[in-house]
This record gives sequence, C-alpha cells and structure tokens, in this order.
Amino acid sequence: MNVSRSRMFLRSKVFQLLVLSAIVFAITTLISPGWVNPHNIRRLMDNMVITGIFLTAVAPLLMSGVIDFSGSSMAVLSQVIFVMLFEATGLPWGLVALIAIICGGVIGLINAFFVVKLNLMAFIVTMAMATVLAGIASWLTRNVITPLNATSFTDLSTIWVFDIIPVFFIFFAILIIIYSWILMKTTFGRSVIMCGGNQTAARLAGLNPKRIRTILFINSGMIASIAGILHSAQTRSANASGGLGMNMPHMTAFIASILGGVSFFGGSGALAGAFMGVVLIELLAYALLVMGLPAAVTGLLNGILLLVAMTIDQVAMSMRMKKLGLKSHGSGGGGAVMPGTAKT
Amino acid sequence: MGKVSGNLTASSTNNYAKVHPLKRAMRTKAFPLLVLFALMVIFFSIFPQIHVGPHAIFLRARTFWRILEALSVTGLLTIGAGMLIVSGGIDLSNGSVGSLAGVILATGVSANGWPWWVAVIVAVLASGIVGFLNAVIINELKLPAFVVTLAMAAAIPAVSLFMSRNEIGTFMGQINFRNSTLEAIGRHRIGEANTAALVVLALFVIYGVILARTKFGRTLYLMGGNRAAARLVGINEKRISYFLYINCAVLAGLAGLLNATRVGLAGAQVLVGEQFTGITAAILGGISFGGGSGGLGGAFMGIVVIRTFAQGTAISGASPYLTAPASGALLLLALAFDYFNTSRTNKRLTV
Amino acid sequence: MGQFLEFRNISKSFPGVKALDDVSFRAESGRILALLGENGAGKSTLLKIMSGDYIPDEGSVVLNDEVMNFVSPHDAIVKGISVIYQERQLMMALSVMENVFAGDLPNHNGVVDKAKLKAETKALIDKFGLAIQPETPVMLLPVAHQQMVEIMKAYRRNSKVIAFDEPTAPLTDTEITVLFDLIRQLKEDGKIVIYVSHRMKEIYDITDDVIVLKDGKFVSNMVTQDTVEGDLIKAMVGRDIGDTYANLDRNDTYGDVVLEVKNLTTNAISDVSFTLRQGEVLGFAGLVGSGRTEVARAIFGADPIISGALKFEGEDFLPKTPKDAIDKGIALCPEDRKEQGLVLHRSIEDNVCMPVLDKLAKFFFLNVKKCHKLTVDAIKKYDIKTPTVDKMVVELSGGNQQKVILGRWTSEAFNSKLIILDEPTKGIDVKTKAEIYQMVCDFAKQGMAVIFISSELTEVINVADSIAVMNNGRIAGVVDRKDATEESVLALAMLH
Repeated sequence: MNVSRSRMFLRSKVFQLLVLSAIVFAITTLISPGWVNPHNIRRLMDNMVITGIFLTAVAPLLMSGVIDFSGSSMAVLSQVIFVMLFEATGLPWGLVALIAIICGGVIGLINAFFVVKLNLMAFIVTMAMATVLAGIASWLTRNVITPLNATSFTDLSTIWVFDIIPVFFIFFAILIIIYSWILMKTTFGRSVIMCGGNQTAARLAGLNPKRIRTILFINSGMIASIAGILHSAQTRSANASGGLGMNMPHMTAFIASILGGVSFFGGSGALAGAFMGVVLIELLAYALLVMGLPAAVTGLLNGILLLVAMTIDQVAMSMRMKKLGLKSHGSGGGGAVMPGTAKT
Repeated sequence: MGKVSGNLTASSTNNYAKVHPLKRAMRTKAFPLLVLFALMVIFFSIFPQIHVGPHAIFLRARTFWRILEALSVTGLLTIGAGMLIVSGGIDLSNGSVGSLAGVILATGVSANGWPWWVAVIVAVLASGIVGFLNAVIINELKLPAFVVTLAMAAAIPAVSLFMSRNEIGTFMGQINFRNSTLEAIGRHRIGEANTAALVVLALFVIYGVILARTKFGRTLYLMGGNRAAARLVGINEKRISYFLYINCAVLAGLAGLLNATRVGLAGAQVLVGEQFTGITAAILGGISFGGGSGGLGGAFMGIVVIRTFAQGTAISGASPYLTAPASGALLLLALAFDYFNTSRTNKRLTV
Repeated sequence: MGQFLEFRNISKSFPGVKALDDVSFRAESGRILALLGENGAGKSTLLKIMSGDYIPDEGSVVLNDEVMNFVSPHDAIVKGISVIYQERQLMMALSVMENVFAGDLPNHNGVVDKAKLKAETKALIDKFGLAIQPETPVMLLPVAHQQMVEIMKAYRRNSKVIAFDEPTAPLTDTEITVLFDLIRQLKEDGKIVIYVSHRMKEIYDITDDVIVLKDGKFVSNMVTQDTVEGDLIKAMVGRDIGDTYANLDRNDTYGDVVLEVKNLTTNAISDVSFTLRQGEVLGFAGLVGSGRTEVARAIFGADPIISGALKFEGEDFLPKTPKDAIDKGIALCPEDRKEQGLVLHRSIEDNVCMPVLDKLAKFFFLNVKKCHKLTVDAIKKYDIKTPTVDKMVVELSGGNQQKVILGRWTSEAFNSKLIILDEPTKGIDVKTKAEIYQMVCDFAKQGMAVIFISSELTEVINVADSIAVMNNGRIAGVVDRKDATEESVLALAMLH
C-alpha cells in the first residue's frame, strides 16, 4: 500500500466537511438569498464560539477513550456562579471568572474520581453529574434570569473585528489552535491519543492513562466554565433554564468530534476535523432557523449525522481490529457497549 | 480407579435445597432500599413537624397515594428501560418517545379534532415504530445501543415539534389541551388512589413476575449475562432484542399519554428528566449495566425511594429545585458505596 | 557482549494445574534459542513470566547476574526484555515513528522534536533495510510490516532480550525471509533472541539451539543442527501415562452414521470431510489455530458455512444458527467455558437449564421444581461439588464448571445425539480429568456420537477411537487409536 501521510488523511476529513458546509451554505443562500448579512454572520459565529469551545473539553477526553456528558450543565452552573457572585460582591469580573473556572476544575476532579478511580461508567456518572449541576443552578436562581451588569465584560461580546468577527471568536480560534498544537506537537498531547488508541500498549510504554484522564477531566470542567461565562456575556445574563442547557452544546461538540474523525472508541482524530464538524453543524442549525424551521429540527439532523458518523467510525474500527489480528468486537450489536468506560 | 460415575458420598443425601426465599429476598437490592424507605418515612414523619410546623404532616395515607401517583409515569419508563438493561441493552430515547406520544395526543385532539381514542392509537403506534427503528439500527447495523438511542433522543423532539404546529404554522413549545374523557381517565380515582397509578403498579407486578419467573424473563438474564453463551444455547437474541426495544418504546408512549392527560399539556422534552430518574432508579435497585442481574422489585423500590425523598423534602419546606440534583447525587453515592462494598468480594459492579 | 538470560528453577501453578515445574535453562547472546513444546507445555507461561505479566511461584529470572523482580510489564521492558506476541500491541491510528518511540518521544521541554523523531526512526528502518516510511499510520501497513514495527520498538528500547511468539503465522514466505534477516541482524547485534514456534522448517532455518518443554518440565537442550526432526518430536511427547487410560471402560459397538461431513469450507477451514457413527468418539488433534474449533462451530451453526454438504441422521442439514443444531440434538461445550459457555454470575441451576427452558416451562412459567430436579440430577451425576443449586458458577472450580456444562447437555430434558467437547479438560486437575474421560466413554456407551477436541495429544489419542489431525485448516490425516502414537500425530499436525 502506498504511503499516505496521516495529515493527508485528516485533511481529507476536513476537506469533506468543508465541502458539505459549502453545499449547505449554497442551498441556504438559494432559498433565502437575503440571509448573508452582517447580523446573521455575527450571530452564527457567536453560536460557533460556544459550541466550539466545548471541543477542547470533549474531544481530548474522547481521544483518550472517555465520554463526558456533564459539560453543558457545568457551563450553566458556572454562568450562574459567575453572574450571581459578581452581582453580589462587586469584585472585578476577571477575579470572579477565575473563581468560577476553578469551580469547574473541581467538578472535573470529582468526575475523575468516579470515572477514573472507581472505574464507573463515564456516561452514567457524567449524566448524573449533569442533573446535579443543572439542579443546583436552578436552585440558586430559582429559575429566574439574572441580569449581568458587567458592561466592561459584556461589551466585549459586541466588539467585532472587521465588523464581522466577534472578539470571542478570535479567542475561540486561538484556543483551538493552542489545543490543537498541544495535542499534535507535545509529548503530553501525544500520550492522550496513545492512551485511547491502545491502553495496554500505552501502559507498556510507561504512560499513565489514569493521570492523563484525570487532567483531561479537570480541563473539561474548566473549559465548560469558560464557555458558560462567555455565554453570559453574549446574553448579558445567567439563565439556568435557558438556551445553554437546552441546546446542549457539549453534545454538539461530541457529534462534531465524531464527524471530524475523532473515534468514538478513542485513539485517533484531531481538532481540525472536529472544528469543521462544528462549522457544519452550526451552519446547518442556523440555516434551518433562517428557513423558518424550529431549532429542534437540528436535533433531528444531528441525530442522523451522529448515526452516519458512528457507522463510518464503527466500520473503521472493525477494520483496525482486523488488522491487529483480533476478532471484531462481538458486543457491538444489541449490547450496551459503553466505550466511555475505558478500563484504567 | 475404574468407573467414576455416580457417587455414594454423604452429599447424595442432600437435596441441594435452594436458599430460603426470605434469605434470598434479603440479599436483593430491593431490601436495603426497603429499609431506606422505612427510615425515610420515620425521618420525614418527625422532621417537618419540628422544622416547619404541626401542619406539615407526612405520615398519612394521602402522602403515599401521592407518591404512588407521582411515580406512575416514571414507573412505565423504568419498566421498559429496566428490562432492556437486564438483557444487556439500553434505551436513552424513551423519554423523548414518551414526549412524542403526548404531543401526538395533544395535537390530535385539540388541533386536528381527532376522537381521543384515535389519537391514543396513533400515539402508541408511533412509539412502537420508533422502538422498532431503534432495534433495526442496533441489530442490523451493529452500532452501539447507547449511541443509537442517544441519536434518536436528539432526533425525536424535532418530530414532536413538527407535529405541534398551530394554525398559523408556528411551532409550539408546549401545547395545552383539554379533553374531559382523557382527563377523567387520567385522574380517575378509586377512593384516594389514582387508578392509573394502580394500573402501573399492576404492570410492575406483571413484568416483575415475567422477569423473575418465566422462561422469557430468565432468557433476558442469560442474554445480559453472556450474550455469546446465550446464542450458543439456541437463544434467539435478535428476536428478543426487537421485542424489548419495541416494548420499551410503547411503555414510554403510554407514560407520555398518562402524563399529558394528567397535566393537561404536552411538550417535546417533557419526559426527559423522568427518563433519567427511571434509569437511576433501576441502577439503584440493582439492575446493572452489562446486564444479568437485578429485578423490577429493586427498580420499583428505587423509584419509591427517590419519590419519597422528593415528597418528604417538599413537605419539609425544601426548595423543589433540589430534588433533581439530589437524586443525581444519590445515584453517585450509591454507585460509590456499591464499589467499596463489592470490591471487597472482588465482584465489581462497574454499573 | 556475552550476555545471558537465565531461568532458575522456575515454577508456576494455577488452580488445579502446574504450568511450570522447576524449569531451568539459559539463553545466550549471539545464539538464537528455540522454545519448543506442545500446547500446554508451558511456553506461554514462560513468556508471560519473562514479560512481567506473571510472577513465578518459585525460582527467578536472571539477566546478566541481575535477578529480575518485575513489578509490572512496563518494568520488564525498562529492564531490557521485550516479548513480541502474536497480537500486535500497536496504536493503529498513529504513525510508525510514534509507535516506535511511544513513551519516549524525543522532545524539547515537552514539545515533540518531530525532525529528530523522524530521523531516528528512519535510521532504524534503514539499519534493517525495510521499505517503510516513518510517518505512515500503522493501520495502513501490511501485517508483516506491523511486526517489523514491533521489532523496532524493542530495538529502540535497547532491549537485551527479544522473544518472539509464533511470529510467522500471518506472514507470506517472502515476508518470512525478510523477518528472518532482521532476526539474524538482532543476533549479530548481540541481542538474546528467543524464538517460540511450532514450525519445524523455521526452527531449522533460523535457530541455533532448541529447548524442549513437556508438561511444564524442562526436557532437553539440543543444538539445532545436530538434531533430527524425529528426535525433537520424541522429546516433545513420550510420557508415562500410567493407568488413567488403561482403566477406561470403553464402548465398542457403533451404530448408524449420525453425521456426514463433505468438503466443509468456512472462513477458517477448507475441504473438511469425515463421518461419525453412534457410539463413536472422534478426536480432533492439531495445533492451536489449525481449525478444530472452527469445524465444531460450523457444524453447530455458530459460524457461516461457505460450501460443503452436511447430513445429519441421513437428512441434509445446513445449520444457520445454533438453534438449528440444537433442535437436531447436537450439543456444543465451547472451548472457552467462561467466555462462551457459562453465564458466570448466574446460578448453577440457570446454567444447567439454559438450553431447555422451553421444556421446563408450562404456560410461560418456569416450573421451578423441574429446574431444581434437573440441576440436582446433574450435580449428582457428575459429582459437582456444591452445597446448593443456587451457587454462582463463577465460584466453582474449573472442573466443576465444566461439569455444569456437561450436565446441561445430558439431562433428562435434552436428548444429545451428538455432543461436541472442545478442550473439555483445559485448566482442570488430574483427578477430574480422569472423571471426564470416563464420562466421554459413558456417552459413547449410551449411543451418543462424540467429537472430542483437545490440544493435549496424550489425551486425544487415548480417549478417542479415531483421531482426525488438523493442520492449517485441513485434515492432514485420520488415525485409528490402535495405530496412533503421539509422534505420528504430532508430525501430522506440525509438518507440511
């Protein structure tokens, strides 16, 4: 078999998604020509920021073989903590944000305790955690929308570079670039992928999957917090029952990751593909909105996209296992395969 | 040496009696939950009186009927999901399916003017179809059940929303509807007890018996315990899998219908929280992932515990917002406790 | 130079089985040592001790005068021992260079030095003269090259000892040549090379010395070039079987033909043909991977049949699922009793009644009394050591677990016409083994046809009436018990 560099492989996923995005863009413009205006583009990018930031939380964990479903609720809680603390104490918003982010890290650590130390199933633990966090957020706010009067901060969401690109998007892009670089170019980043790819081989090579996953969980918590805080700037409020919880951006990030080539089973993928996945999904969602369809239709499409992406991933996985000389996973059909339970 | 068939040892006089049923009952997860329930009852009989005042009475018949009524919707979801988990599967979409059924009922009756029983039939059929779809994708495409039902859970609300367009064409988040017959059915009481809740209780008993005492039920445990071995003794796991997914979806549909008639409104995401409570209850009650253990008795006690806790804390004046996170936290604690408990005997219950 | 790896008085036991018994030998650098022995002789246990997966009960492993006490498999690697198993331990989506240097990526303060990584990997590739690019994802490499990557991994770690476990199974002849050049290169570089294989041709091709193990004991140490094949085989077999087999009460009357197999072909076997009569015990011998289990599974409907004709009791028979076979009265006791035979966390009763739940139910409800009786009958018949029918099978010993499976298929409720036993005595103590041998004979006496698959040569040729020897997916020959010797059977199984 001729040499094909891994980067070329990834680029092709990125390329495919780029093409799909272009098609969606084209069709939408055909149906609603007026939609390409600065207002819409800014809104679209605002959406991409929130979902996209979750990539840096969800994707690394997925690469190392673990799922985290608590992200969105963590974001909501952080948002609530941030806004309420700020309004109550009047401390500088930077400091309050830091406190909220640290809270996120602590929650991540708690997740890690259950999943990594106790070896419980990640999906159940993080889902349970999600209900706990969402519930606490609701309790704190009594489901009342709390306004945020930190104009120095919230105004940031209204600054647009070249009048089109929100500042937050730049922040998000930088974040993606940094994480991408870490994952691709540092020894730590490479160990993340190695842990997911083949746990035994990773341990034989002297890596410590437990430690790595714990770090990634803490990271996930902190990133979710950041997302929540940024969202509060966009909406100038904290809303425990609002869009952030409803739309579940971490799920979108999860689906985008798989679309973009991060394997559900861990061990491969890169942020570039996942990023394009986010672009596609958000573009699709916005397009549907423009065409007058309700937001939930995106749920339908996301569901279909997820299934398609999973089928492709599953096929790739069985090919990989066949090449390793192992029989393919028998428990794939009908059974509840929980890949988020990477045995540590 | 010679022949080694048969034996004349003392053990041949033993009839290898099974463990005494009472002892066996005490070993199930249901039992500690029963104890927990009793403790809660005691606690809540006293605490609210002190904390809130003499009018905060917990210990009366009405409370328990309320608890039963509250857990009937969740119960239907739990039965379906519980059976699936025992057999080694999972359904994360039944909350959405239930919501869909509710929406179909509401739209059918109020917007389309269908007779109520037509709407009910359509709703149940639709639920069944979703269950069938789940089963097809899981069994034929061999995708993990967890992901498939997750994707379905994302997709179904869209369908619900489509159905809930009003006259002008806007999509309603929630639909209110009134139908006296349906309300009468949903809220019908025999004495203090809600009839529908009694029916759900009966279903728990029926399904529980099926699971524990019939050939079919036994097959589910075997499938969940070791799917390969089950196949090699001739069990048709595919057919059973189809049945279970459809069953789960239909039960979810009924849950959605019940919920809609009681509350007078339906929405696309209404039952999603209940779904998770249902799974939590099942796990608390001893049904573990990877299948092969637990029973509906335990699951039932799980819901009872969760709902009693909710009722008790409500009467104690605690914020209703705290019940959901409390059950999430309860689950985590239970799992951790279980880990420390069983890691001693080296039989890890990794959920 | 002049390094050596010594095994001193290594013993290792598992419940009921002594895998290694006071094994001592020495491997030197500059000479490739072959480790030879039948299945169950102890080779894999020895390798696992070398790689740090098992800790010996007694004895020690010494590398250049340093006693090795491994705390983990990683520790073994750090101390210089690499074992290359058949299943490659690679990260498929990652590149060759990342796999080779996993855990030790060249870096500056945590940032990977890609140029250095690539250069060093390339140097290694060139040293061995391979046609691989360092940046190719391992997933895209052919199996042979994946193996090379494993070897490069070991080399890069400066392993002093490199052991190979059946490396040539998935390779073509040309690839084998390349592999052997590489191995010779390792030898020249002063590595201690241990080579485990069943393929005689290869042993003679590449190894300098041969160690033969038998039943967990060291037998002899020979120089490859000075030894004849026949002597090697003789060293591998030839044991005192005592009275165990002589005392078996066998069946000597056969009935009608029960099973006719013609040109059976599946994914793993080709052109398998044989017939089986009532009361007959047909043994299947052969090396691991030769296709014996696959024949059983095909007959049982567990694996798809590509071509061939089967006749059961005179009628055409094409099983598509196990149920088809079970309905005819065919029973299978799978090779891996824990993974495929038993539902470990369920009771003995559940496991015994599994295939016949239909018959034990009346209007859907399980007749608890009947289940109980069935189980008690099985416990008594097979002398299963348990105080109650409710005990979880995971708590039983291997022998008792196997008896549960046997009980399942030979109860009042299931009329076995053909029973297939795949490695029924694996991991079982000697006394229970003898019980099982007699059970097999009893089955035959009751008129059942029995297929008895085993990797233990002695067992197969002494219990079965005739032995079909499989080699590489085909039947190499069928030998009658009267004429069978371990040497002849092993020769059929190993030689082309």
